[in-house]
Amino acid sequence: MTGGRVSESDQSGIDDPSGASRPSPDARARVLFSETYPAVAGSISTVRATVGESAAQLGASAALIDDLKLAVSEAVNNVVLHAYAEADQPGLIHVEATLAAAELSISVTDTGSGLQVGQPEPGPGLGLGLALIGQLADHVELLQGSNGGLHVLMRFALPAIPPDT
Amino acid sequence: MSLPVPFKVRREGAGRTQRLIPTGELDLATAPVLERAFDGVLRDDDEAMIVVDLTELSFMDSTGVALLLRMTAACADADRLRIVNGTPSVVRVLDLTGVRARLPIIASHDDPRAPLQ
Repeated sequence: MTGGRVSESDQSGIDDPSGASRPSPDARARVLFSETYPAVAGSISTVRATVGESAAQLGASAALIDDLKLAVSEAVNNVVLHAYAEADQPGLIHVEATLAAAELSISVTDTGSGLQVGQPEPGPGLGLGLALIGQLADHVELLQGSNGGLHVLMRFALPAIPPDT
Repeated sequence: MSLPVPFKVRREGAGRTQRLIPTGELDLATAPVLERAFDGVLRDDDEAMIVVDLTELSFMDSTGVALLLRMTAACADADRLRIVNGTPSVVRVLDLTGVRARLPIIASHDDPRAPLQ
């Protein structure tokens, strides 16, 4: 469902749900998980738990795990609330986490048309969601996908990861 | 994968104080549960002090922050809401969003009927 959905600055194949099973263009990057969920509120706790478990396995601190869970929740909230607002039924959310060197990247991608780069986020989050992501992540990119959806890429520095994890 | 504690809201009434204690993760999916419980207290008793105790929350996002702001606005005129501050991760969300000073926050050992400091 996300085939062919590659943003212009995206070279890592992170829109491919099967990305974990094929070689990454960047040999140093490792896909930790790559999952697709229905874009409904009930998916958010599952995404959050998956991100938390991944980060815990990398030895991330409790504070960093909290930040990752909050950031990914806000990104998924935006998709659930806005991406498919004009669609007949909820669409899908693709979430992928990759590790390269000491940096964890989490991407949240939708194929809807409700969110545009540069558009302020309306709704119950009071515009707090994207602002929170900006405070939590070390680097954030919002990219417009070729089929109209939004691609949120968040990067987090991971201090002192033990080798071979 | 460890599953999160199912979200629920406990209501405890003691005299003129009604306490709501949400447990688990307060997010887009669960905020309506707390909001309904809060609306129920507002409806049942128009004089009770309402205490929303965040200490048993393991997670809160901007949806929870927005709900706390709505609750605060609903109770502002009567000054009948107190929010008991939660775990470090909950406090962090209040700080990052800059709303902490705008909420009637007390510590868990404070008397909710005492004037706000």
